[in-house]
Amino acid sequence: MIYKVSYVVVGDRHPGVILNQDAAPQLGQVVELGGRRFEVVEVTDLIPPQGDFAYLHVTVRPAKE
Amino acid sequence: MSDLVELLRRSDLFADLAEEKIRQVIAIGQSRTFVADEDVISEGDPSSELYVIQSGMVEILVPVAVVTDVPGVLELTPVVQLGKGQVFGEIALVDLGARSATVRSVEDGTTLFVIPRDAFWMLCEADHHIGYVVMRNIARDLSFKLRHRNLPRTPKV
Repeated sequence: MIYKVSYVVVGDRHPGVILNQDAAPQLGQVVELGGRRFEVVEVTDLIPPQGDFAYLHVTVRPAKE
Repeated sequence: MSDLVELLRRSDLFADLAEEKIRQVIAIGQSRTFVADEDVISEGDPSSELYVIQSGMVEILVPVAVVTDVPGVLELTPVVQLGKGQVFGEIALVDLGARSATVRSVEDGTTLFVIPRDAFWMLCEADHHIGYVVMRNIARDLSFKLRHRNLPRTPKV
């Protein structure tokens, strides 16, 4: 499965990112976007999966260092 | 060439196209590399190409009022960044209008696979299966981006 993920950043001026990845982000996971680290706080299906693609909306916030 | 096949196969715009069809798309395009902060396209410019991100990252910028209630003072503001496998320029592919946003390279070495619109339309006309699949996928991609844009910026948790 290919996961097309829209990352929306809260608590920061980062504009968010859309990218394709091989694994779905998990709650609490720390992801790196543009060289900066963010913690995943919400994962939802943006639209239903179709074929090889899943479409996710992920909310992240700056990770605590 | 095989890297490009894999890139397009994993780009949802070309999802469900057989490798033979993907190779036909590759045959009409070419790769182009950008340095950081280089504009790929500018809002208002005429459009003639569709772009797939091979590597690196770009950001989409739109003019936003710098001072509230003061018309005419605008600043280009990033609304989203796009990474590998993402597509942009598809709106102009559909409506033939001017560019709706400025797109800027975020990283040195950002490489894009560039598909000329006219050649792509000719390919879609010559092979309606390619045309149908790509247009369906463009509609899905625009739906995804609209839903992304319309979501509230606060988590439910």
